[in-house]
Amino acid sequence: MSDQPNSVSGSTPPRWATALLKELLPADRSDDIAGDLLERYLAHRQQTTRWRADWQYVRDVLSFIRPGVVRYKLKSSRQPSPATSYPYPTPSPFTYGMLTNYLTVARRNLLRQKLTTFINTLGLSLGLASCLLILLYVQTEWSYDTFHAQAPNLFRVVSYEEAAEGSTGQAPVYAAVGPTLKNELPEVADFTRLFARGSLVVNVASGRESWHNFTESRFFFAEPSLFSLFSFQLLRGNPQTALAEPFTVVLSATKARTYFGKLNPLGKTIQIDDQFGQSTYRVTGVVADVPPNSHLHFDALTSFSSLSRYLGPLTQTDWSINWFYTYVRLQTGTQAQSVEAKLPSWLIRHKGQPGQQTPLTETLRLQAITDIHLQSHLAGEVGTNGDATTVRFLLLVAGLILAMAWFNYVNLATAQSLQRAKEVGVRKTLGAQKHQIRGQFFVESILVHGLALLGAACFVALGLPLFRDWLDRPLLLSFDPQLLVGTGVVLVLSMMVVGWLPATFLATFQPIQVLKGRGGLAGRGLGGSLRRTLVVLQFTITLVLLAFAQTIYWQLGAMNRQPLGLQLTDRLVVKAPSVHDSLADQKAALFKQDLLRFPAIKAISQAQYVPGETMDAQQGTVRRLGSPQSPSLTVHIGSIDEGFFATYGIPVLAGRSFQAGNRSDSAGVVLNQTASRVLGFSSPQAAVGQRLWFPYGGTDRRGGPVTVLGVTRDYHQRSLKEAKLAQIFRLGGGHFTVQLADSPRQTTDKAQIRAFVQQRFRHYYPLDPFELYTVADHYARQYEPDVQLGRVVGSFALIAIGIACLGLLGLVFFSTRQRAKEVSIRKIHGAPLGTIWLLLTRDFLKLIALASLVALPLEYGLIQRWLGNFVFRPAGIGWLLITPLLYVGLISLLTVSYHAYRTTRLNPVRFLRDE
Amino acid sequence: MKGTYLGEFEEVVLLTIGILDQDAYGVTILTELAKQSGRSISVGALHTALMRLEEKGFVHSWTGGATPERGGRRKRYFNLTLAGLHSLKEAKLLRDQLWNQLPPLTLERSLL
Repeated sequence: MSDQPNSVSGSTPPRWATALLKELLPADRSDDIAGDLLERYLAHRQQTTRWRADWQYVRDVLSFIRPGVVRYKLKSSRQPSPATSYPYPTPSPFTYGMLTNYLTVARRNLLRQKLTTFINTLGLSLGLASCLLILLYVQTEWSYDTFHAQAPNLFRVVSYEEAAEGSTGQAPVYAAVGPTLKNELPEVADFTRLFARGSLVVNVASGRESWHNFTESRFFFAEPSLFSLFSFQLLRGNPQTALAEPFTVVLSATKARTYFGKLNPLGKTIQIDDQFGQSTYRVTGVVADVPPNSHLHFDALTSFSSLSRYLGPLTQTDWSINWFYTYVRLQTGTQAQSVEAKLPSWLIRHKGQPGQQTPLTETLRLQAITDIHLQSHLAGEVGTNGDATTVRFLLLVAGLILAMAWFNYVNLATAQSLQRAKEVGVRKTLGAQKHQIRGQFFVESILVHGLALLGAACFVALGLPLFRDWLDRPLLLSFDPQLLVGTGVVLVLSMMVVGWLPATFLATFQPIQVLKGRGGLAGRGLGGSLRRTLVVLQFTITLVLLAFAQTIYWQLGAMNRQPLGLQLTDRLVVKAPSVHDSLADQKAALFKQDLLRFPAIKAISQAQYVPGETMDAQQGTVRRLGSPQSPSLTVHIGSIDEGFFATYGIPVLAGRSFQAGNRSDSAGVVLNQTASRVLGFSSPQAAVGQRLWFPYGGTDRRGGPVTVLGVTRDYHQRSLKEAKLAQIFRLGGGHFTVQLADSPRQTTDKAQIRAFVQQRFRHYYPLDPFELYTVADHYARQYEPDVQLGRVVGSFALIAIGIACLGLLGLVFFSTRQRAKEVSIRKIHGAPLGTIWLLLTRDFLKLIALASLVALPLEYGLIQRWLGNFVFRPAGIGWLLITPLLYVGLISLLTVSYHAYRTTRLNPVRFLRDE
Repeated sequence: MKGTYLGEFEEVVLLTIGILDQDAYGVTILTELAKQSGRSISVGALHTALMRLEEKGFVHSWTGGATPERGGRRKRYFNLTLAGLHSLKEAKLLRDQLWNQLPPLTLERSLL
């Protein structure tokens, strides 16, 4: 074969295609056919563009993928022409005899190289286990809402308000959107609406006079069409009629069991107490529990027609209150974008021009139901959604960790090449062909993978409960085809990479050179630089992961230490009763007075939104009297009682707070600093006594003027991820906060307080469920997703360090052994231990330093990006970048030094004697 | 009898090789085929057919004639063997025989 570079026209076809062609063709035809294609290619180049000629060439090459060629190739390889064949029969690597031989040799090798086997197996096990766990998580996240048979056609209608500062989205929309869409747009085949009932109390008769009551928060008003759109399975009852009549309810299987035990719940009644008062509902169906991978979770569905009884025709025609989760089913084959494009003008037609009532431009959008869980983060979501970025990030982490385990294998295999090279040399001399040697190494890799898979299974079994807890997802090991395929692909890929690379590498040794003692790939050369690159990569990955995990922990810690502007410790919250009647305020006052009799209770107050909860955000509703409305002004409104600021230790900067018994205070509000600033007051003092137009002002509390009584210092109502908000407080009731006198350290004290509060609560609110929790815990729960991410990344960073150090250990072991003779000679000539230690560690330390250089910018970018989520950002990023280097540097220094020390301690005679 | 059976494509390829006489190799066969029949044929298909024909003993191939525009690669020339010629004749014979038996009515109808 004469492979001269083509010098005539100076252009060559895509090289990969030529390589592929060579693979495809039988050996005896490859040369002339390649010539034919080249000739055609050059002819094409004369006539047309390079791109077209390339494309034609690729098509020509691909046209050889056909059974006829394969058949010919197999036939010709079985009957080789005498000129090219090997004179002796060579057994195929996959006959029984060869396989058993490979197995024996592989077993012996694995047993002889115990350290290598251990490192490879452990590394691969950890890598595979991490990969499996993450795959499991990713699969769960991706599976959300795919169980609906009509999922591709299901969309949620959401609204966006485009303001100057950007758009804000709302998951629920107006009542009229659903019905009007179906009537007017032919693409919309059907719709269903849900209305969240919020917190409520369910009373179930358990005997003649006795009742059981339960607090529930996942009840919805729902339309009968829910069952035709979604694939929620009705276990009992008729899906067409179950939710048709007013005051009927469909319970989830779990709730039905809770309320009625084993009895048939159909036809039984439950009583529901909430903001709409007390009503009796008849059970008309039982629905199977909502699958965990649904963005929408409910415990019971009450008929939508009951809501119409409460709210009247508003539930069909209203265009002002966005409370209704609206889902539509589009006709099969309809593009969502084409429907979405019609919505802006459609909405204006129904709601009126923007600028008339509201200056905001509002749009409706469609969200594919399967996108909601990972993509949608709107206000008023039905539940907490996942995060697509986290999923992608963890997927990347899984890949990186697996790659690190592969690097170890490749590194050790090539590092051992000096020893294995002799074996290969002898085998080749005895007549082994390349593919047979490759087969042998491949069998070895398969064995290691088998062991690693066992190990990985153990790690997964151990790690799954932890992982499930950390990520708060219902991860289950199931034989889901998607997951099995994913695992299979990972495993096969792993075996390919890990088996093929070293096998191909080792099989290329020239026997004569190896047996003469030269060659192999001792320190330098190709193997050496490959190994060095891989070590640098490993440590780079480790450093970045470690820095990221550390940043998460550090940021969360800093946020916990940061003063919030209010006191959270030793404060308990008692949930307010859900039922509001005319006596509510008086009852609350009595209850508060009653509690104060207990010596351990210092103060008690009420607030609609305890710290950590999102206050009612209103846009453009509040303004200073006499000044024009500013539409983009967002304030957060909540009601508190006179004791709130004192209970939480929030200082009043100017004016005063609400006063007990001062009836005129209900026509006043208290601002926080930010609110006073955004309303345009020059200082807190200037705000006091000013008049505002307030949505809860006026005599009927439906909007009117109020007076600013005072201004308080800002505090963080929400997590430090968010900026301080403009808050306006009005007088009213809400959840009770109990401030304890002095930290009751003994649990008995706490239990006593709890029992006392509960007893008094029962006395005043016999039907309401009692719920008590500490504010600090409640507040900390906001950081839960970040804490979860921190734990997961942290543990994977530890695994990464483990794998990287295992690899380093193996490499150092081999390299010091290779240099044992050199070290011995140096020792004989009196080299001090320090010099020898430096000699042995220097190379590795250089690699780690290089990895640090590569890792620093990556770390910096990742950390900056993540910290971008937070408004509160403590100083001192540099420290976060440096410490991982120190940790990793120290650990690897210890690893390397240990080996160096062992080598220098040994008697030099041991290594020199056989010369 | 199996083995001497000629597929339609194989027959056309054999004939083209015959036409090209001493200059039949991959590229020329392909161009000639495209010119005569007007259809575009993939290189893979042609070479598969050539391999099969050689296995059946209908063509004979030898290498030679490297030219610079082939990157110095040799050409593989093809010519018909006696067996190839025979099977072509046989195929033509069978066809003629069948044509002759076609009733005139059918012919006319198809011409209309």
